[in-house]
Amino acid sequence: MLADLWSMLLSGGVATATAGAVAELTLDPQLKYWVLLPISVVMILTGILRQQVSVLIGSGVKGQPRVKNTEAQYMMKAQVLLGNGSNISDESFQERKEYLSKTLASGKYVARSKAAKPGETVNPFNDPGTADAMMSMAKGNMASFIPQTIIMWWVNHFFAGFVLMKLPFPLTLRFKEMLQSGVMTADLDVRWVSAISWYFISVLGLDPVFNLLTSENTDNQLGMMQTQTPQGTDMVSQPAQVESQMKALANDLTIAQHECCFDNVEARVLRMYN
Amino acid sequence: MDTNDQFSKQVKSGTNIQENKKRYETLMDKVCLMAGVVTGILQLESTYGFLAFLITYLFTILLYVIGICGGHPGLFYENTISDLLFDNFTRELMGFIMAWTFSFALIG
Repeated sequence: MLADLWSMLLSGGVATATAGAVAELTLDPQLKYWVLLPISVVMILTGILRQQVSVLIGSGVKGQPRVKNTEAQYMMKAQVLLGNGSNISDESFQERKEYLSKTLASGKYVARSKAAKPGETVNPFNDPGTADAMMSMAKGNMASFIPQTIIMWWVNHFFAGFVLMKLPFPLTLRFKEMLQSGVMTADLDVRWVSAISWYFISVLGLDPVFNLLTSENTDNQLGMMQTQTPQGTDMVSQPAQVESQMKALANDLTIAQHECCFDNVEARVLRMYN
Repeated sequence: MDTNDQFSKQVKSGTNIQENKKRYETLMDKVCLMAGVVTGILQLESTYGFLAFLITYLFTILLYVIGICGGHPGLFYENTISDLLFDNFTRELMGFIMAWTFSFALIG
């Protein structure tokens, strides 16, 4: 009863509501084995292949000039001191603060290429690092949408023009055009759908399956992501910008208030075990 | 009382929270795919199928919070409600619908 009401609500149109009971079609069971299963298998295998290919064409860990590393690490050092400075004693903090603010303000470790004159901005598209990053992004996009297009064409070409399956849930009439493409029946209920709709459902729902199939690789991916994140900051690395960032950090450092975590530690410990 | 409260707070490890989220996601993937297959085998249609999903989803969260997190999910996640309840909802629903449709068509 509830289900009927629900389906009437969902199917919305007067046409299906007045039609009452949904017409039952008898489908050839061979359709399952020669259409439904092949499409599923192909989509799963393609997904796995795509992951492997994206690992293959993905850029590995790239080296960069030592001056760049020094620059990035000095800035990181300042940020870390700002963030975690409360874990060291007051004298240590003051010492580090003084040294870092002086060094950063003087711009000693700004990586300058020999070709560029000071004050001149470099075209970011000439930088090989940026070009590589954009290239790998483009390759990633290609690897994801080329297989999709090919499979969609394949399904549309080989499995068009017949009803493949019955969906277990009702849909609105608006889906009819998309899900029943190639089936020339105006009054057929939207629940009877052609092969392309199984393609759509698979595209939307295969994420969990891929996660389960490739779950043993995820630890590696997590580690790789962590090692790659510092390089992402190099996208904009104009010497002038870096210098101003360093100056800002030096300013932050000079006005930083230090509060040591060992102040009143006795009171906190006593309260914890009280 | 100046016992500088900012140091009394518990600090959570971001890496561990990521790992916990990943574990939870994998568990949910398994549960929801299997629930979809079972729903299809039982030939449940429309509302009953979605109800089966909702019940499975909420029941699994309940069991997870009580059984695996020991009743204190806040120890292992940062935003408990969104991490456990909302973040994976669409993904698991889509996986469920796919498994449901697949086994429904294969059995029916």
